[in-house]
Amino acid sequence: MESSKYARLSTIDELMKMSKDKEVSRRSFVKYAAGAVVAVGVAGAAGYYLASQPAPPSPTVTQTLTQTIAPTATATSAPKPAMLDHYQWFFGPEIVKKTLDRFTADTGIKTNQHVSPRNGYEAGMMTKIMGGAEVDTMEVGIGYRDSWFNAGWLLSLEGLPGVDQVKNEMFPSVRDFYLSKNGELMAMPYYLAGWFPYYNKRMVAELGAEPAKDRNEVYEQCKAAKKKWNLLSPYHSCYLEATEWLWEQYIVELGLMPFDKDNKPLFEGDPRNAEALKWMKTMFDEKLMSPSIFTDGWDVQSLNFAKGNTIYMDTHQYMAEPVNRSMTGDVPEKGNMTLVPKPYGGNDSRIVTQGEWMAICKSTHSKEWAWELLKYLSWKDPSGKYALLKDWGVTGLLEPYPEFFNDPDVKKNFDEWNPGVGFEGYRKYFDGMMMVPYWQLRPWFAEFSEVAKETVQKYVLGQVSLSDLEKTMGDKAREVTTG
Amino acid sequence: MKAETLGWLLVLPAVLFVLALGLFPTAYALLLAFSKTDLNGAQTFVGLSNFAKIMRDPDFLNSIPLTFGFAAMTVTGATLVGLAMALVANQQFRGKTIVRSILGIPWATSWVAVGVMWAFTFDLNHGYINSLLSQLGLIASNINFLSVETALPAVSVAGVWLLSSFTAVFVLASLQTIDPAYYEAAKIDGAGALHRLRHITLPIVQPVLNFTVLSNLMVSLTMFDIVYVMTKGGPGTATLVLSMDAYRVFFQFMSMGEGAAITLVMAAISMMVGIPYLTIFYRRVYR
Repeated sequence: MESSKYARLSTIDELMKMSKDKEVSRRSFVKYAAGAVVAVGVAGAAGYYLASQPAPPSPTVTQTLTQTIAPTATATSAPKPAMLDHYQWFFGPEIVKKTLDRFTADTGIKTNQHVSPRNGYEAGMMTKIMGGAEVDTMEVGIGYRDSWFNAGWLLSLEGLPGVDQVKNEMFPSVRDFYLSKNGELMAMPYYLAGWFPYYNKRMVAELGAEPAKDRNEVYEQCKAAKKKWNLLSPYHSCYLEATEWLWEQYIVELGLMPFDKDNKPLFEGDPRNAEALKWMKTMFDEKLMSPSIFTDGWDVQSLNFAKGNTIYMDTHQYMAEPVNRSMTGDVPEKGNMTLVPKPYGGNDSRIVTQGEWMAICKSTHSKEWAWELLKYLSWKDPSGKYALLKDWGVTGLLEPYPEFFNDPDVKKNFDEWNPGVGFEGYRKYFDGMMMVPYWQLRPWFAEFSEVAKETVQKYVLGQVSLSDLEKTMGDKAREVTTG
Repeated sequence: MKAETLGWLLVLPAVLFVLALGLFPTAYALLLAFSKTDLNGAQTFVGLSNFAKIMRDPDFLNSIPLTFGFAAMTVTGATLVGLAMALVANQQFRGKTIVRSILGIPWATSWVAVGVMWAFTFDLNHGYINSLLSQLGLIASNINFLSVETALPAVSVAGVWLLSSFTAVFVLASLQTIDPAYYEAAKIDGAGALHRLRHITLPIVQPVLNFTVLSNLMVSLTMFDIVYVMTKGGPGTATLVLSMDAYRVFFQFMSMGEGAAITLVMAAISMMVGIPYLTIFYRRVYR
């Protein structure tokens, strides 16, 4: 023992001595560093070679599982994978888990639920997919679906059993939200939303007014509300995330689409564009919008409504649920957030549909079984009942199926937090007052959208003129749509 | 085995680790920056075209002075506040152990959480600062701290809160190595508190301050989390610093070549600032 201890000490002494007496020469540093680089290179090349080899087939568990688990009415006879990996962002992970567990109980296929924060989810998925992660089913956000589909990351659902039925069961007004230009089903519904207009029932009544029918009336009532209650933000919406989407909503109400079907920008020089933008600027300049509207997130806008700082708001419907059904007892405006009966701007006016998707990834273990799981997650289970969608209904999400609107549980839930309007109010919108923003589904839209967002913000802040805005956005539109 | 060989063998795992984590991503970023890369993996060499594109982008050009402005405010603030905190925590008083333990908490906090906390602190309608100023009767109407004019300094305050803690912990450790005899001798010679700070404390903690300034500088020049959470680069492009621009170009525009080119510019800026700083200050300290 002693001798080895001294031997070690001796070596350390030598090293110490070496480091003192003899500085590491440049030559030896280069020699060893080069050796290390070569080693890393060889290891990397070997790793790359191994990773690029086809993966061994997943073990199938059909035999053992059929002995222990009741057979189900699934539509595929494909070999069962041992595991399906589902990726989602952090919204209702426990609700999804229940459905995943039900799928496992029905089929015997285990599921692995991967949950990421919503912020940065797509960036994370891009790195995972590019890095070769095994992904079976995944949630896909606005602005990414078509790019990922075109890149081959998402698999077409055409030809899978039941796909035609899914398409037929959708509201015709929103069906295009799921289809490619060729009518191909690219992904399944996660949820649908719209830029629904809301007003504060109590405050509008106290002003002696009726719910606004157009943006001018919104302006007038906000002005009156500011005067009466000294409000800091009579109108609110989530401009931090959605400035450009709201600009699109405002021009759509005036009958102007930002792009035609061939991606040609239509907003340049159109007086309706000027009208919508001037409304935004006037609302901001006259402090009828919060001065902090460009940095206020979804939480702040809801808080403003809940506390009575806001009388009008455009927002996705699920943002009304926490205001109207607050359990904290500290929400003065609970029950007052009310859906405006019709979109602003006349009978032809529409609400821009938005929503997000569930898709099958190219790296799936089994396309057939991923499809079976997808049906649980965004349609019906084999018994013909909505599996997850009913649970989503409780949280305020909407789905594109008329049958969903007939479900008594979902209806009861929506009626609870939409007093006086009820679920019927939303159904009316789906029966012809929604429109699919085809331009938002194009692969180039994400880039245009970012530039539109900052340019519209700059216009409202007085940093650019209307003509500069139209030129910047028009040039960007042409740049991105022509590749 | 020769001692020199043994020495190299001992450091080899660390060298490999650094190379794997540093060299590979850098090489990959270089590859992306000089290529047009599609999502499906198709890659074409395009030379300097990605750099030419970003140089024509007004948002990118605007993000460079914003990044320097943010870094200057944050590093200056973090150094001054961190030094002050360390000097206070170094005094002998009841509860000093608790205070010294608390010093490190901001640095240990998740940066995203720091962003959320400060976003609420600065909130126009519900923020603590407006609420406090209002209750003290100091303001007639609430202040929008995240306006075009003040958003960058406001985000920088969050950065200072985070990084001053890092500075304070290191400076405090350095302060505790100073022999009290120096101060006693200086006092006998009639040196006041400011003189003692200038001629004893600062020269001794200078190497540590150099390290914290350099480290904070690197962090500030590449700060992403706090900006993303608090403003997402807005309002308009008021807080669109380089890291935010790289993120949106890479992940939102899905232009991987241009996004990688921006990250390389960021790396070059960090080196251009960091290397002369290291050279000048370490030469001054050690020669």
